[in-house]
Amino acid sequence: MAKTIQEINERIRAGDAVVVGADEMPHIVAERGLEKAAKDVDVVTTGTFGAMCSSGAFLNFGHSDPPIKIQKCWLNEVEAYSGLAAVDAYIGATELSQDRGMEYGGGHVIEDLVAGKRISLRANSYGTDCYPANRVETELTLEDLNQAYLFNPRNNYQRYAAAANSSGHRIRTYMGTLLPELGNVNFAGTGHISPLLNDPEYRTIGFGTHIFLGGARGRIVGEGTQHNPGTGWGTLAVKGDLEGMDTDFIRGAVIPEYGTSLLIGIGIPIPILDEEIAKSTAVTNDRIETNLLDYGIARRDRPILKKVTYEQLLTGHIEVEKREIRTSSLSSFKIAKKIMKETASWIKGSDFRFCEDIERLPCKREVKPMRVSVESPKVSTVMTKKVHTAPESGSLKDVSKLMIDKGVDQVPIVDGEGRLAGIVTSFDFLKAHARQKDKAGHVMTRSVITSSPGETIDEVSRRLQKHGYNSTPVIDGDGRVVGIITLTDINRAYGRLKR
Amino acid sequence: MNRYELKYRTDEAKNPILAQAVLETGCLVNILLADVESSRGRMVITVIDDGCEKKIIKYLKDMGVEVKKLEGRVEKDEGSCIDCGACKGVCPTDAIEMVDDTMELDEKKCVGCGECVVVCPVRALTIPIQ
Repeated sequence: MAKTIQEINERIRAGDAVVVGADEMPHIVAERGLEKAAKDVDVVTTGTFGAMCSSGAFLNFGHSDPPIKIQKCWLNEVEAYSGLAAVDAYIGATELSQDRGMEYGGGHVIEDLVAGKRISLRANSYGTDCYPANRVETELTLEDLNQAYLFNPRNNYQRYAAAANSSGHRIRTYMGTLLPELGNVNFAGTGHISPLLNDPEYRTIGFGTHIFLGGARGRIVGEGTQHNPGTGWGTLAVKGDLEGMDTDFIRGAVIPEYGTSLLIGIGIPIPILDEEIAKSTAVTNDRIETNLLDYGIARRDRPILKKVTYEQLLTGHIEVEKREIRTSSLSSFKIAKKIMKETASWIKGSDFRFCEDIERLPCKREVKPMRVSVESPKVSTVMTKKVHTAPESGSLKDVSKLMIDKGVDQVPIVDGEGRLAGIVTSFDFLKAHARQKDKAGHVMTRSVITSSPGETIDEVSRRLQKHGYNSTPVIDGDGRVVGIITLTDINRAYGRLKR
Repeated sequence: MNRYELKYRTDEAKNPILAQAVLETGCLVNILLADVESSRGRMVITVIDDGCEKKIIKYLKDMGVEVKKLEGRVEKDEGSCIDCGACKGVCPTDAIEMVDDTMELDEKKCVGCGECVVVCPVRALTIPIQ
């Protein structure tokens, strides 16, 4: 037995609608059966709360006197894009402040506006006959603006990959801090209460759908960028007025050594039209799978360590490579559930109506990788192939002679098979002097940052920057030294690319 | 019991600095946290016997180890915390658990290392200096 949107709206108007949370629906379907559940329940509400980086707000400041055609502007020292008309700007969540760096960014500006705080505006311009002012400096609050609305190109991922790190070093990523050697697993998304997982065919969630957005009413304004519903990776573009939002549900975020973002709460009510929709809203965490990816490999296609379900992730630990690894969520289930309840109370409050004529979002879409016409060179094409190495048993005197004769500041030390055993730099000679040692093997630094011939120079460049080194030996799959790559090699290669 | 943060370079792999310090001073320590990377290491220790604390700290400093006395435990601003689990993932002593979707900090287990303070996305955690 199917219901229409009009019938559900009528029941909401009369205050008779049965509204339940997505976490209750599996039990209702299990107890009453699908047919009865679809008949009994009118609306299922969902919720999520997490960092959604592809977010920002359009602001209109009003005109100053004399008027200015803003060319560049900063809000609390965070640059907002103003290449549109005279006094419109878009403040993006991940833009960093010029004075506080990663501790404050666009996401925080949006939070401060919602909180009613005063925001400094600094703007400049080249000046025109119609807009003569060259600069303006002022302080504004949300009330002073003509319009201020969130317009987020990509929010509310259907699901997200979980993250771990197999490398030997701690890394800081947009999936949080990942400890070395699979020390922890971070995941995002709220599983079976997550909005899009409850209507994966996009039958009721579409262009125009009313949603809970940051504490106020918002709307879906289209598919999100990188929308890929065919593989279970749908996204939404959403819009909502900052006026009426609440900092309990919209917060600036700091993701250490990655940048800033915006934590957003989204709740989407789903009208239960028929058994099919009832079934999809009864989804449980054991049936929601995602990939656990290895962020230790900094490439676009990260290796999949294993497939995991949200049920497993939510137990607090999962088994990977025969080890128990603790899992932690980056999304807040507590706030997501609060949003689910809040959305339900809006609907019960009876002035809410489902949009009768939503435009459906595409159910099939391809996400293309970037076509890069100038590829980053591989280490093997940039490295110096002629490497001066010395044996472990070699004397430091020979090593020092080698360094002086060849004009190098470090010498890779190899074992009998030609495999890298360590490295000797000028600092190691101080150690040798202090400890009265004379063999390379006695004083060499054993843990060496290395590179492989098949890597891109971008990866090596980041590694050198992170560890504060100028060069690394290049080793093949067997650990044999096949070259050395220095910052000078890398800069020269980048220089060639520019030309 | 005082807690100390030790920072040192690990290039000198042949020197087990802490073990040497314990042997030489006869002063026992508990290692609360060890985060050793290729070129540097960081540990948090407590000295079990108060009597020899000064001795071993001086020994470590003489070895070139950077020693800092840690003060206080982590405190949470309840109004600011969003109850995600970013802090839980990096806690070396399992002092943070999610109970009924709520972040709970076990002050007895917390060693005040500050790892969680760094990763908190809303800066709800602090270690007050006493």
